[in-house]
Amino acid sequence: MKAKHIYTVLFFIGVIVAITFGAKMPAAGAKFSDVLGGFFFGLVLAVIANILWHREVKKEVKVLLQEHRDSDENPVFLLQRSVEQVQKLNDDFEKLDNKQVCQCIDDISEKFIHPFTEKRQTVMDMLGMEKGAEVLLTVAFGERMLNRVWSACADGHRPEAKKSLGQSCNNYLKAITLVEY
Amino acid sequence: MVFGIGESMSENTQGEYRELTVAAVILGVIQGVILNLAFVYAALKLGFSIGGSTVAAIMGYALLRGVMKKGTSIENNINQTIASGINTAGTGIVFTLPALFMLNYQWQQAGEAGINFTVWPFTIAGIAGSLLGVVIIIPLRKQMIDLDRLRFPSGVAVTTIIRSGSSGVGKAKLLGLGFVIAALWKVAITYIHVPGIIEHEEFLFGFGVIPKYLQPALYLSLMNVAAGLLAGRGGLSFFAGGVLAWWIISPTSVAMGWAQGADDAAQAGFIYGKMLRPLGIGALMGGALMGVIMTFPAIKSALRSLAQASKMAKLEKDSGDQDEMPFGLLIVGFIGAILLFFFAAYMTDGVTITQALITAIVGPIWLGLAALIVAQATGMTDISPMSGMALITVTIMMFILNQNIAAAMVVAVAVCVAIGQAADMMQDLKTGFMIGGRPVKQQAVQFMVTWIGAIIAIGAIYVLWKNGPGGANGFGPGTSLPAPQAGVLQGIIKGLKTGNVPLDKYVLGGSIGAVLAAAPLSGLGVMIGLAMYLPFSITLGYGLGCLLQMFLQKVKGAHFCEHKLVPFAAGLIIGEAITGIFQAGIDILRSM
Repeated sequence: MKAKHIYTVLFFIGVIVAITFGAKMPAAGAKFSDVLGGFFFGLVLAVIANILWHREVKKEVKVLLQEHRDSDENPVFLLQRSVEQVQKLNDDFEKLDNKQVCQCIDDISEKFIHPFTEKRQTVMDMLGMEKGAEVLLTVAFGERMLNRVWSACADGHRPEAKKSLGQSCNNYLKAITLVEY
Repeated sequence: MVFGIGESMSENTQGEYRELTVAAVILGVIQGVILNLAFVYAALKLGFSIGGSTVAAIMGYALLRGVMKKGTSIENNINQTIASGINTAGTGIVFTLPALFMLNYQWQQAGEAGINFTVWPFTIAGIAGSLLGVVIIIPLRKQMIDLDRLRFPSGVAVTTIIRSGSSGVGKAKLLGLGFVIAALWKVAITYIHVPGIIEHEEFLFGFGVIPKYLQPALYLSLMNVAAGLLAGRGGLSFFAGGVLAWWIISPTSVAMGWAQGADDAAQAGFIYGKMLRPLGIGALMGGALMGVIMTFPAIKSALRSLAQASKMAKLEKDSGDQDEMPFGLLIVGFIGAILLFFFAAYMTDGVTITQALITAIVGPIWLGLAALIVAQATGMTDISPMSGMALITVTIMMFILNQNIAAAMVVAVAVCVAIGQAADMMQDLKTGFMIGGRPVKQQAVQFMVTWIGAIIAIGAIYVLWKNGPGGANGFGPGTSLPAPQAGVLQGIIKGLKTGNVPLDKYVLGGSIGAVLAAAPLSGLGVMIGLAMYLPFSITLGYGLGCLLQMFLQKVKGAHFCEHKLVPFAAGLIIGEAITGIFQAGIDILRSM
């Protein structure tokens, strides 16, 4: 069993112990129950296991960066693919009809964008919370603009679709330049 | 009326892409006012109310695209944002204000001193709550939708409606199939009653063998299961919280002799009311607070991005591309909140300046935290713990305001309206994200019109109360409008007056929630807190939905789940919601 899994199990054992002892009602006139010791034992166990769990997660992220650079497990790889695909769609926009544009967006979302957003916690762990948030917010704006392209094409408004696609492209490019590793 | 992609109108190469239009605003306001009045009445009569987004989105699709032939997806989004915002403002009021009328009447009838109040502080509080709910969303939107990517199942369902015409016949058929199944199911379970097996829309699978303190009940709501289907693996912690509460803590409490009660049903009631619910409320608060601390760098980044967007918008002036409300509005809103809380409290009889000042500081801070909790819970599960937040609000305020019930309720009205608005706005912003709408336009229309909902709801409640014999008791026990939710809050207030506050549970639950929120799994504190707060029959149904989605994803793949399961689940949510509204309407007409 991996160390991470052991710490996860210990964390939940600690939480279960703490909640169970915390559930007991205090005696009449007392502020807290007489099993508060059991509650604190569970809480401390959960806190220690939590700290060790976080350490294991950080180690995993380092390994991901070093050994899985070009894998779907690596969110940066997925982001790079997203950028390429959105840029390609932007370049090919005039050659495609509305239905084809919408289909392209669905494909990009399914293959790259949604898998990337599923790994947002890994992005935070990789880049730190502040930088990770900046990247994710930039990607979110790009994705929202891509969704706007879909809506504009569905509604038959090509100029809006083209404008929004340009904005989406710019934001995805900005997001990938923010990532330095 | 299914339009193909780009075929709904001739290629519109001229003019701006229709988004915030007069047609959308007028349609949204009309629908919002009608839904508000209808749901205030339904809530007093039946004890629940339903969000109006799905109805408004369908009407918007029919009128803007079908009749006017020029409506766009994002225009319909503005329409449904306004309608649901005006409607939701009423929900926060109908849950709180009637309790005050009922308590006052009850105490006067018993020859005791009544509660001295007028509706004006509540009107100010309701308007303040409507505006504050929008203000609080400004920073929360980035956190919950852009960063945390919370699911907001109802928001996803509304997106499916708005896009149903353009997504292809296949998805529209799945949406329709889900709608029909949920509608028929809802009608069936409303009337099916098998004593001991199916009661009050719950399947009781104890059969006299499984003890009641293990909560062997399943809420027969396809909407609930559909919320789990949309959440998938991400919602599993909510189910795990329910299992922890009822299949570990509950039997352990019984085995250890901690649960009072003559039989297993009484023990279950004791465990839920005295142990799990207050622990769950504590965990919600602790989880939310720790969540803020843990994600503070991300929140800082989100706020910086907001401030930068404001600066860029000033430089670019008329680009029309500003996506966010001005950052200054957040500061103005916060100062406005302090002032409104101060005046609403000070206008209430028996409140000193010092108490009003403390209320003005504590009120907005608590409101922000409560909005965060409710928005997170709604985002993850589609369930809003509004009653729990109302309870805590009244508890805190009765402590600060020296047991002044009227003043505490003024703040409770503001908080409930605000958090209702926040949760509703988040659902609408999720829809906006998925279809490419600009958040600033949705927030602007909410700001402009949803305070109307608060005034309408207060007016409706006042009129209904005065409609009773002798100009009072128009709703409450023994009348045609029993107001069950207000009755619950009444009971809570009475309990607080006798000093019955489970402080130990709030503190211990808060500690547990904080530890859970610090884990490397997002939102654990809020999910497990919410699961302990709710009946297990709801958590079980949701959990089955999560497990089913995980199974289908493994067997059929992600493409199947995204393109087949999502529209079907959206249909289930919409079908049950619309049928529920229809049934409520029939019940009301029958009773007239």
